[in-house]
Amino acid sequence: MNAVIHEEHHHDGPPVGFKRWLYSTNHKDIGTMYLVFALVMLFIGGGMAMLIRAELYMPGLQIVNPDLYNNLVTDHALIMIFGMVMPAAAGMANWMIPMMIGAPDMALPRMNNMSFWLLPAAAILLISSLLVQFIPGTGTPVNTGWTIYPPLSLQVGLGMDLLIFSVHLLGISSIMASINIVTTILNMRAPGMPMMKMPLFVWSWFFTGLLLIIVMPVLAGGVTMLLFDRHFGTAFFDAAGGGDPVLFQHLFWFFGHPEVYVLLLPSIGVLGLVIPTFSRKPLFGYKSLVYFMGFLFALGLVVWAHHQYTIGMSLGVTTYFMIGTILISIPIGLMIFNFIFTMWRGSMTFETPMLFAIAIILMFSFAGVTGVMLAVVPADLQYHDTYFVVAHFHYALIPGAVFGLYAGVFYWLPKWTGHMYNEKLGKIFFWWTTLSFNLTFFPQHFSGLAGMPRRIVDYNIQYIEFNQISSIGSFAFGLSHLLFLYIIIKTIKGGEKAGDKPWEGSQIGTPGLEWSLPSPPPFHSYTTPPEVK
Amino acid sequence: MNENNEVETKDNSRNNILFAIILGLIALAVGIMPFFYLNNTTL
Repeated sequence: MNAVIHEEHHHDGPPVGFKRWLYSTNHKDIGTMYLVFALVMLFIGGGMAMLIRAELYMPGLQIVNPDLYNNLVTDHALIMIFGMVMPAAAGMANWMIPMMIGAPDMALPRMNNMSFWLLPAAAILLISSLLVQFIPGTGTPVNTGWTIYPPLSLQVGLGMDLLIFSVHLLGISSIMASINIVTTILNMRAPGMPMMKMPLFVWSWFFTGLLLIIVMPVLAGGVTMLLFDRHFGTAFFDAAGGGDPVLFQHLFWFFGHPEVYVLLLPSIGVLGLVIPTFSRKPLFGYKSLVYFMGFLFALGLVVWAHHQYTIGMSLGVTTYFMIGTILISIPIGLMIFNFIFTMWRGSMTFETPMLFAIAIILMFSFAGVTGVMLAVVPADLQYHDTYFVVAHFHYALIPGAVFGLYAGVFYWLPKWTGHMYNEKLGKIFFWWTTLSFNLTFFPQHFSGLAGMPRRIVDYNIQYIEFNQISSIGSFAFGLSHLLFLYIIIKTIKGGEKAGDKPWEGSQIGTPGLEWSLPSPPPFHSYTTPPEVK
Repeated sequence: MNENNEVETKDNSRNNILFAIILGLIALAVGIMPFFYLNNTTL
């Protein structure tokens, strides 16, 4: 169907006041709201991490009681994953994907609005699940960890119900956002933009969206069954009624493992733009990177039970999950080589996004090495539930996901705001976070290997040195984010004007439609389909 | 641009809604699967 739009007709500018945000169907405004939401949640989840590390500074009980401690551990994970990383990545997708593929907006703008506005409601429920324990008579706090395994999750108090409803809303929000993004990518590309010409960031979100559509409903189904077991007399997971608690573990990790790739892929997409830009060379092996992402997508869906080696699976099944998991190192390793080959003999400069990109390659590879160690069943039986696992997944998720988002923020901040950020402060932020991050999590490998269990408020005195180093590092890491906030606010308020294309190499080997728009882009990006070169 | 100085744009809305329905149905199908799996954890 073809519609004819009069050229003389111009859309009005943005509405004013709260209506602009509450009723927004504009992809850039919704993207901004996602990013602001993620930033707020970063500070809430980070505050919880500070409390956890303050408690662990010394053995024994200092600040919080054991149940509250475990509730903090639970909510720190859920807030950082669902409240921070996913919304931040979705915010970048909202901002950049329509501009990158030459679409006027997202495919389903009203659904886009709803996807976002479910998030504050979910966040309120999630934070209430922590606070409700202070009201007498509401039962035990949610001391289960983010995995909410039964039978413990069947026994805790009202907080668990609030958490389950929060997960429902988060699930609906992510599924709608994913449907929107996948539909936009498939249907809304400008003429002359085949899929194999799309920037890698768009590809990364294509696979992320598909992953979320496949796995998020399983978590929603699992927690609904949990809710039924808690209140409606079913016994899906209750052994006393003929159910099986292990079933929940399978359902949870069928979601939980692909979720790791949901968090990682958008950052890999950002690397696919930042590294060629600052190496001033086209991305090495663009097509192979797309295929590796597809491989990662497929493999990520079928290795979930490597989180459950200790439940007593048969030898054949365990071996399958072990081999599948080790295979994952192949596409990820190849992607890292692609990025290194892109830098090879490039005319490299080291602006803040590039510094983060290089740090990601180094530190994420480290998580890959400990990941292969954890994939090996006999070794994992020793590492399971120790701080070695905590160190591994923080090395995977902070460089792999969070630093990728920082790289994205610094890369696109000039485009979003029309101002250059302060490069000197950006570099200070980079070194501050990178050093303090390593100070926090590197010692945890050793305390883990020495046997320190995770999710326990107290610890044996032999682990005190490692924990004190870790806590000091974490306070420095937390504090560095105040500088991040300052840089962002300062850039929004003013500073050196950014041109349409603030980075010299940003259009090398990619259509770079987003850089043909002014900085900041107009309220409606494209009134006519752009020309793809 | 046609002879009347008008820009022709493609209206994707019907396709977009169709895609959303298909993807939504996939999500729904996956979401109800756990309920049929019930207590058969044989792994």
